[in-house]
This record gives sequence, structure tokens and C-alpha cells, in this order.
Amino acid sequence: MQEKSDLPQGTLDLLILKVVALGPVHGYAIAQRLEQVSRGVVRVPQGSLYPALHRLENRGLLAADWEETESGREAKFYRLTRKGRTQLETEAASWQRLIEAVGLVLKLSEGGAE
Amino acid sequence: MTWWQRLWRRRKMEDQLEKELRFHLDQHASELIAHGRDPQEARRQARLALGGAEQVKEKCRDVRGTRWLEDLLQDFRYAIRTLRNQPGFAAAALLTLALGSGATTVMFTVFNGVLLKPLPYREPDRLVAVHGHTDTWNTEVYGQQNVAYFDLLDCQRESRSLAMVGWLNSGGIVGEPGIPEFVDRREVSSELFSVLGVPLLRGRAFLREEDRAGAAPVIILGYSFWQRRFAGNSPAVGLSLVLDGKSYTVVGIAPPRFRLDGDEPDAFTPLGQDTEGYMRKRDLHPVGVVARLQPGATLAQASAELALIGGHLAEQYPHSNAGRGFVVSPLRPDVGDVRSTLWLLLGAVSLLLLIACVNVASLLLARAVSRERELAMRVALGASQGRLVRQCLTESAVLGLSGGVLGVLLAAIGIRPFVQFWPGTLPRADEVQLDWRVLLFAIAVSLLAGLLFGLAPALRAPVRELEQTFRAGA
Repeated sequence: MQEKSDLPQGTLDLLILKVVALGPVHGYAIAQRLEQVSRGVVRVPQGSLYPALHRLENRGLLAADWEETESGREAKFYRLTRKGRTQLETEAASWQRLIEAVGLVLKLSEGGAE
Repeated sequence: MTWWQRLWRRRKMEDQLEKELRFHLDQHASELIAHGRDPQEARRQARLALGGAEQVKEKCRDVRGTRWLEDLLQDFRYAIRTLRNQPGFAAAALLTLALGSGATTVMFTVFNGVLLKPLPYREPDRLVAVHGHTDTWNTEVYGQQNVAYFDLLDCQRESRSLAMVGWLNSGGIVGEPGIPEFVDRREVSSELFSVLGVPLLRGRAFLREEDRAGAAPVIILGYSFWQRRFAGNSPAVGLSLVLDGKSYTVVGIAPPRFRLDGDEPDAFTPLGQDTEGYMRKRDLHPVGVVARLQPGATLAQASAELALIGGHLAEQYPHSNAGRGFVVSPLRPDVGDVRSTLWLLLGAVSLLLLIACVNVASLLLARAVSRERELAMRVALGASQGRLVRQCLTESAVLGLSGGVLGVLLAAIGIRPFVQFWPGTLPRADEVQLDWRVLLFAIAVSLLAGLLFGLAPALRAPVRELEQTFRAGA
């Protein structure tokens, strides 16, 4: 089994925004989905999930409503606000740029060593 | 949601937080059970995965951004409780502070009324005083020069940047109706009230055509004189009144506390009706001049314009006007030499307040020694030094503010006697009142005092050597 890695600083917000962008979802489902989608590579710290959700809600990037789940229980469903969507787009773009740049640098050093 | 809504709905948010986390745990547990785990074991694993519901809750509360306010309220309640538990200490400290801040507030009330309050006219910052000026005149010795009546008329006609009006001190004996009495009269230009932006209480201002020699004699009464002489009877308007043997028709009543150059005149008559010799000579300067800057005009423009007009007059009337000019300056209340006295007194009472603060600080320090164990206990339970300093400062701010409130009460009672005991007459004495400026000052001063005397005990809060403190106190 692969070793799980911790999330780099600041990426949890981005991942949450992305998952919530797919449709209204409650906290537990966010944790589940993050874990599934990353194929277990990323360890989602459940303890920091809720503070992060509340912080995003306070900043107006997420909105929340209490709705019934399929099993008939009330749960807090988060959804993306317009502000959240813009934030997701800019953050995703800058993340993309970052990995490309890091990838380039890594390739360069390998070439130099040979 | 704004932060105060978050604070207001704290209860509800706590409930929702609890509910949300419970949902998470239940969901996780039931999933584990579905995978064949023992229910108890499933619940345990779910809790472990979340990492402690209480810790998560605490983090979520921090995210709300209202933490400081909640702490503040907590500290505030605690401060009140500790003060109530030590009535002797509280009384001594409060009395000291009340006296200190009361004296400061009284002094500031006088200072504010005499020096800071704007003149009671409309847009007083657009009003200017116009004085005569010659190079040989020493303003320091003789005071400001007034203006010749004809010069005023020329300036009024020529100036585009100023709406100018003049006034002249005079007196007279009012005969009919009633007992003859000397009245303090001002002869004023017809636009005086409109330029100052002061509406009359009753009746009307002078008309332009009444402001010239030979026009029908009309008079406006000062509010106090009207109250005194006519007992505030409204039919006074339209009555006739004999002043210096001449019959005048009353056309208006000035509003209460209307002051011109620091005094409340008894009566006003049109300046232009005065036919005395001093009105017709350009080398006599009896008329005081105030003016309002026209919309868009600046003080510099007005100065330049009047300098130009002065130059023209000097060419035209070299005998009387050579070397004579005009100075335009912002209109300020004339308070004479009281200014420096007031500064001195304000400085003195501030020192008094400082002494009061030092006394309270030493009381607090003495109390801090006896509270060392309590503070050490808090440190042992995980309070940071910053948190303790905040708690101590909240306590002293509560003391300071309550002292300030008592001080304002003292000032409200003491201000009238103080003004009456003032040696000589205090200029603008009836402007000396407690207003929002005074309240703001009192609050600021008492908070500052609270910080000042609270800082020493706060910084003393025991953070190191906990062990000794506990042992010594045991």
C-alpha cells in the first residue's frame, strides 16, 4: 500500500472548493469524496475539515443550508457561492502554474545530473 | 453573516456545530458497521478519525472571528464580580478616579465651550472678519482697526467674493412704553442676519431700503430685552418704541442667545439711518465688519480682492485712504487672554488626574500581590501571558470607565458653580455646557487612565516561577 502524504499548506481550501463545486454536499461526504478521488493518496485531516469549511463559509466562498439526506436525517449542505467559484478558478489556475513550474525545475536538475 | 450576527446567534451556531459533527460521526460509524464492524468499535474509530469533537469545535469557534469579543465579555463579567467582592478597594479606587476625571472633565468643558466650540452661526468656517490696516498701526497695542462707513459701502458694492455687513456699537435710552432704561444697541447693515445665517425668532429682518438715511425708523429687539421689557409678549412686533426721543416700529425679535462680537445686544437699528458726522468721514473708522465668503470663493481670493479695492480707494481719496488697506481673517470668537489661563488650568488638572492614576495603580499593585495565586493557577491551566494581560487591562478599563461615568456626573453638577466662581467674566460663558465632545473626551480620558494604571499590574502577571508562587501561597 502506498504511503499517504499530508496535504501541502493551503491546498485543503482548494480541494474543498472543487468538491463542493460539483453540487451541494455535506461535510462527511466531502471527506469521503476527497479520500476516494485521490485514491487514498491524500490523507484528509478530518479534524481540520470543519474549521476549513466554516472559514470558507465566513469568507462568503461557501453557503450552507440544512437539508434532509436520503436517509431522512438533517445535515448541513454546503454549496459554492459566485465568489467561491471565482476563487476556485483563480486558485486552480495558480496551482496549475505552480506544478508546471516545479515540474520544469525538477526535470532540469535530472538532466544536469546525467 | 457579519461578526455581530455571529456573536448574536452564538447559541444557535453552537447547536448547529454540535449537530453537524454528530451527523459526521454517526455517518462514519454506520458506514463502518455496514462493513461488518462491531457498533461500539465503529463509533470509537469514527471519533478517532475526527480527532476529538471538542478540539474540532474549538477550532471552528476560533474561525468565527468573534473570539476576542466573547473573551472580552467574559473578562468584563469577571471584573465586575471581583470588584463587587472587594467593596472597600472598589470604593477607594472609584472615588479617586471620579475626583480626578471629574476635575479634568469640568476643565475640559470650560475649555471646549470657550475655545473649541464654533461660533453659533450657520457655516461659521465661511465667515470672515474684515479689519482696516495701516503700516503705522500697532495691532498688539491698539487692537484691530475698524472700517470707515463709506469704505464699507464701496467694498460692499465692488466685492464679488464677499457678502459684507457692518455693525456699530451704540446705546440709547428707551422711554415709552415703561420705565426709561439704557439699552445696548447695535446699528447693523440690513443683511446682517442673513449673512450670519441666523433666522429671526419673530417678524422680519431690515429691508434694504430701510438701511439708508431718512427711511422709516424700524427696530429689532434682542431676545433677552424682549423677555425683560415685554415679558415675551408676541404682539411686541408692530408696536412702537421710543428710543432717544425717536419713535421706532418693532419689526422683529432676534433669536435667543444671539450674540454679536461676544455680547447679546438689547436692540438693533439700521446702520444706514445713522446721520452722525462719524458716519460721513473716511478718516474715522467706527464700523466693525463681518463677511461671508461667496460660494466657491476662498480667503486668499477675498484678501486679494480687498487689497485691490483698498488700492483704488487710496488713489481716489489720498487724503484719508493713503497707505490704508484691509485684512481678511477667519472669524474667531474674541476670548482675550483667557486662552493661556485655560491651557494652564487644563494642564494642572491633567496632572491631578495623573496623580489619581498613580494612586489607583498602587492600590491595584497591592491587590495584585494578593491575587498572585489566582493568576498562577490560570497560567497553570494554560492561559498565555497575553490572555492574562488582556484580563487585567479589562479590569482596569472597567474601573476607569466607571470612574469616568462618576466623573461626568460630578462635572455635570460642578460646572455651573465653577463658571460662577470664575474671577471676572468668562467669555462665552453660556456656551460652556456638557456636550458630545465633552462626553467623548471623558470616555477617552478614563479609558486612557485605565490603561495607564492597569499596565503595571498587568505586566506583573506571574508567568515564570509558578512553582514558587504555589508553594509560597500554599
